[in-house]
Amino acid sequence: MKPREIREFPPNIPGIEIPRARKDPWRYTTPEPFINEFSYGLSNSPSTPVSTSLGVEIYQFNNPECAQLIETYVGKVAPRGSNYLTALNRLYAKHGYVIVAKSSNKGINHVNISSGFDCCERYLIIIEENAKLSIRELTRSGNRVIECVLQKGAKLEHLRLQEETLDFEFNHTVVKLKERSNYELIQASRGGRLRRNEIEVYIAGKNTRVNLSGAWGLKEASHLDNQITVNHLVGKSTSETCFHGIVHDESKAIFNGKIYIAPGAQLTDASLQNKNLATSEKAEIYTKPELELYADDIACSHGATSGFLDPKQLFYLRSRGIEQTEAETILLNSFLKEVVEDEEALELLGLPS
Amino acid sequence: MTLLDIVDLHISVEEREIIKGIDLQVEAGEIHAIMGPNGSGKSTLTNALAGQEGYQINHGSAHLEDKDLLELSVEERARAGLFLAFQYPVELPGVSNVEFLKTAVDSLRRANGLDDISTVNFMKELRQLVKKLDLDPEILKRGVNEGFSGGERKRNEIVQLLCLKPRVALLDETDSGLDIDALQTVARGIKEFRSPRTGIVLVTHYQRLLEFVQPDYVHVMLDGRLVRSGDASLALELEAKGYAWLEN
Ligand SMILES: Nc1ncnc2c1ncn2[C@@H]1O[C@H](COP(=O)(O)OP(=O)(O)OP(=O)(O)O)[C@@H](O)[C@H]1O
Ligand SMILES: [Mg+2]
Repeated sequence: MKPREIREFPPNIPGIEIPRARKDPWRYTTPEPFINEFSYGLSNSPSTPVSTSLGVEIYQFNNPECAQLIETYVGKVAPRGSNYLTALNRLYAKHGYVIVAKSSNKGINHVNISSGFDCCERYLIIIEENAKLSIRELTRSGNRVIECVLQKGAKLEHLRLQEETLDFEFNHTVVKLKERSNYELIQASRGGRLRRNEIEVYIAGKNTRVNLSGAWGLKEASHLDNQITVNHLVGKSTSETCFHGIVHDESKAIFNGKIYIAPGAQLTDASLQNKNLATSEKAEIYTKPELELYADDIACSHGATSGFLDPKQLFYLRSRGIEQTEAETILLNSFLKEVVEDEEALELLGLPS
Repeated sequence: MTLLDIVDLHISVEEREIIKGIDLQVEAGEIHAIMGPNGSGKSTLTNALAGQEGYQINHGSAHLEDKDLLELSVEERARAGLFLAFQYPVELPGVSNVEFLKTAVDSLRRANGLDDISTVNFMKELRQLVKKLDLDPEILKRGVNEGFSGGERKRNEIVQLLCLKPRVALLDETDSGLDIDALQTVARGIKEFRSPRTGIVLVTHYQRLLEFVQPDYVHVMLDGRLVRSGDASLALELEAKGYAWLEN
């Protein structure tokens, strides 16, 4: 892929508005650092996907063998893509990979994606009919756009480990599911200077299942912004979204979670939960669950909470002889473990498994 | 030997005096029952003794053996040998019963200069206790009180009591909300805890438990005071007559 010469900054991209601070969906995270040309593209240390599984093929974007796939899918997985930073990624991206999990392998395929540094990169991930893929993705900085297509009966297990970082990081992940497919995300996040994860899921086939779970523990002045949308375009599918986070010191967590149920998407079962704990008066939490429902024969629930540790729970532990700091640690750890069980995710979060 | 020694204790909550001067001495080996109408201050007394926040001690003293309870933090009181079975035990979602109890046992042992208990011995004892209290061993894998029924929570408090082996147990309505069999099970647990070295304060509304666990003394709390004390027969009298006759 050839990066285009960019003269103007920020570049004007026809039909897409340049995001502005303090306006939704950038109310609590300033977009400037992500738009600033010096934030990425200068140093050149991209991530690499690695797999030893028989059913996995990996191509660079410029490989003629995958031209057809790129033509068909890139930029088109999301039906209403008008994300400026994603468009920017397209202009800038020097690195792109296509990963295909083939139907030919009946077993589970594995891919490791390392963390890139300060660059724009793209991934297109295709999971063929009935194929299974497990991705272990590390993220640290830069602007990464991932588009995933799950064909009929496909399964994607996505473990995302977000390392502690002093950099800016923008992740945009778009996942489209066809009939009977299944997407599972486990996202564990440490602190970052400014980290934003946009996750968009499009359920385009019946009898699909989506499970999004995540946990974070932020320290000092870390800033994490999760923007999640689960779109039920057709009915008879289930989505469950559950994120728990802890903010320490003067860190800041933003969570915006939306369930969209399209007209006619009957028999959808969707839930979305975000719970937050703060251990400091200076920490900030902004959480907003949103529903946009156009079908009536559905089960849909959502909720968001934020607060401090429950003094009654603390008292209970201490009344059994457990020291205050240990009691606090037990409660905080269990709060995150409620949503994340994966050992590597727990390790990243500094939790004993 | 006096295990628990409460002298002229006054406690208020949000500037309102709830406990208005209580004296109570529990000798080793004794069981004291406290009965009294709703809102008379029974839980206020037991919670404040265990060190719960939000209670001001205006006057008086409370000692466990030679330790001044009111000077100690919540965990130090537990380490000094005090145990409170809660009227409403809270849920600790995701905190496994095993992890919780092992941490508690080890905290108490360390405070006494002992090494951590071996996991094998601990698990063996815990499984026996759970069985003794007629609880499903599966609950050990669940979070503390997570999704437990009211009666299961009460029995779980007795599991903790027998596991932590304190000197003084304050049991706040551990018999409330139990079915007939569970009441006997809990009574058996209390009797097992009873020894010449331990003391028990039993807060209850019902004579029923006292048939199984004979108290040495019964006290009546009315409006923050112990207005009458007697032997086990006082409980019977209360059951028959109610509290009104004591009010003047
Ligand atoms: N944290 C609190 N905040 C405000 N009022 C309180 C608090 N704790 C206790 N009280 C008040 O103190 C009084 C005594 O309450 P307490 O719970 O001690 O009664 P009790 O004797 O245990 O009653 P019950 O038999 O219903 O358990 C009540 O009027 C109650 O409303
Ligand atoms: Mg009470």
